[in-house]
Amino acid sequence: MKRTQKWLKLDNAAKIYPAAKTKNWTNIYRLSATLKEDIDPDILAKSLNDIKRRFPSICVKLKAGIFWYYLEEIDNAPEVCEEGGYTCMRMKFSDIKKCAFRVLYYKNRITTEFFHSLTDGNGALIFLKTLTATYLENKYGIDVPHENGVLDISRIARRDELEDSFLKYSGKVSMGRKDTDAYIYKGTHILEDFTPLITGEIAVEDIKKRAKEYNVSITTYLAAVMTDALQQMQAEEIKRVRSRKPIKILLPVNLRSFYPSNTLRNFVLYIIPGIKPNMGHYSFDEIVKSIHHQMGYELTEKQMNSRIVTNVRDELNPIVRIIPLFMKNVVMKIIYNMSGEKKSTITISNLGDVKLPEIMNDYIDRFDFILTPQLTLPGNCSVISYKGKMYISFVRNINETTLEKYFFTRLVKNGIHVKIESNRR
Amino acid sequence: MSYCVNCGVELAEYEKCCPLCDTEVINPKSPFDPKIKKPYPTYTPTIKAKPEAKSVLAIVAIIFMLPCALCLLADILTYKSITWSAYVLIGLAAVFSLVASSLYCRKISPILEEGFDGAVLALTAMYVNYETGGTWFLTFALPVIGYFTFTMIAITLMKKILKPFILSILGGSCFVIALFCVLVDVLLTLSIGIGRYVVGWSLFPLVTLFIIGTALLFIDKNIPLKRKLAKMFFI
Repeated sequence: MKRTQKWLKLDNAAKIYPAAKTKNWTNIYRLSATLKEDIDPDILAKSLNDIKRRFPSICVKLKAGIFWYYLEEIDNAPEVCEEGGYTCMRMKFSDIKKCAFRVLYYKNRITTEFFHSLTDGNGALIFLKTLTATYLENKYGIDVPHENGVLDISRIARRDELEDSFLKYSGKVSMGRKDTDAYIYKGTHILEDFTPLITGEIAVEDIKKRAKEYNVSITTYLAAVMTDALQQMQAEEIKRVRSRKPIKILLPVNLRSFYPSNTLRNFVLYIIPGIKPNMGHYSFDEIVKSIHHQMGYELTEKQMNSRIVTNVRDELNPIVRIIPLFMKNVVMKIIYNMSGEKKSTITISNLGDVKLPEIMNDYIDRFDFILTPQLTLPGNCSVISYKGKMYISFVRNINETTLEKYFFTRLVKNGIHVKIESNRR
Repeated sequence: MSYCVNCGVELAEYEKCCPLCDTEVINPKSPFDPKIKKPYPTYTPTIKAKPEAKSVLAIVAIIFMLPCALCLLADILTYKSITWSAYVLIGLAAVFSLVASSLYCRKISPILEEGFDGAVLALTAMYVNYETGGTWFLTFALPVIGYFTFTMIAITLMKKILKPFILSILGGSCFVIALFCVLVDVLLTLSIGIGRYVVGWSLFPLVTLFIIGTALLFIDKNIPLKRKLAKMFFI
């Protein structure tokens, strides 16, 4: 059946990102695949053109309606450009209104960068996998099977891939939004237009072994190491124990693991486990246990559903719906500035282990996943694994690398081999 | 393969210093090779090309020539001599001089530009005063233009000296503008005879601008408050 509708409403999670933008900041993230050979830009451009039709919710531009923003399909695939800037280079809002994602290449790397209103990491990874598979097919003439996230580009998008799953799976009981403010570490802001990046490469087996010693998942272990590093930073910054603020780690949760959704749009929520250092110093064992149990309590379908309801209820409120967009933007911006980023110290977004059709593994070396720093928070952390290697990327908007240093040296002290690389000029 | 002696992490072969602690990598068996290609491109910000001052001035001159020619023609055809069109010509010449000074004098010194602009305005006012047989130039126009020029120079200097403190600049500007209002008020009363009191209406902008200026200076000194307000009032 031919799809006639060329535009989509923003999904529930996507609505905040256009309102939260500033002159110098938009919420974007990067996913890249590093191949064994240099990229041919012409073949990459052809591949992008080939898959464009298959992703009508990603190959879009952001447009403003009277009451809401919406996504409109682009007529032509954007130009494939060579990376010339820094990672997750600022995407101007005027550019997002022309095309809300970009495809870049550099030597042997294919990079995709997305405005967060389009899709979450899961949808973006499917897009990158399909793009890379099509590139390999066009360049080497191989036949990549349609499995492990590689979509069949000869078909059109299914209805369930374009649905707003928040609306579909929203229940009835809402959970409040009350939460305490978290500790925000400080530093001297980088004035120039540049985002420094530090990536640590570690063996998945090493970290799995350490996490197993505590009987927790890798994400829990990483959150605990991060919390411990932040605890040390806060202790050095605030000497008075009672004045210390909660350290809270924002962990995005892929809701597809709770609901049978195939959507390629945003379908993530988050949990914010943490510790309260004003009660005293936490040992690493205590941190791991605390985070593990908090995650166990929060990561249930019932809890997640009540969070979905809270967000969806606001969107469906008839008064909210009839307020003109420019007024909504002002209100949403004030709410975002007042509370949006104050409830967590840092984000750790773990996309997990990338699985590909077997034939593609021969051509690909690694995957990278990089976020931009939040508007007011000084840094962000993202994690992705491929072929037994885990890549932990830190971005920041301050000069100091204290958190990165404390985090990676803790891993080294715990017997994990870490290889560091950066985009330092 | 090099390790940071401080952090204990292995470093990518293109790292000259440890990205975590900035400790220099010294490995006698594998010295740093600057030719090793980095996985990220070197970012150099692009500079937008500005149009040349000459061409801007030429366009302004062409645009101004049309009203000049039309006014002259109409004046000569009607009165057989140059009468009212002289005011149009001198007005446009003054505007042209202001544009030229913003293009050329600013490059040398912004203070020179303000001084030049003040002189142009004073000469224009003097010509109009002379042609109309007025007596207001020395008693009103010259002091007002003089103080206005001083105000602009003061704001330019504040911008230069207090560059990162934009609110202090705005606060200081409020004070000088408030005083400018008082001066205009006093001179209007004394030299032209407009107004009942020596200081009348100017008290309202004086009080308002003084309060706003003080508030701006206070906010600029209080950095946490300044950051909070900057976030809240972002448009």
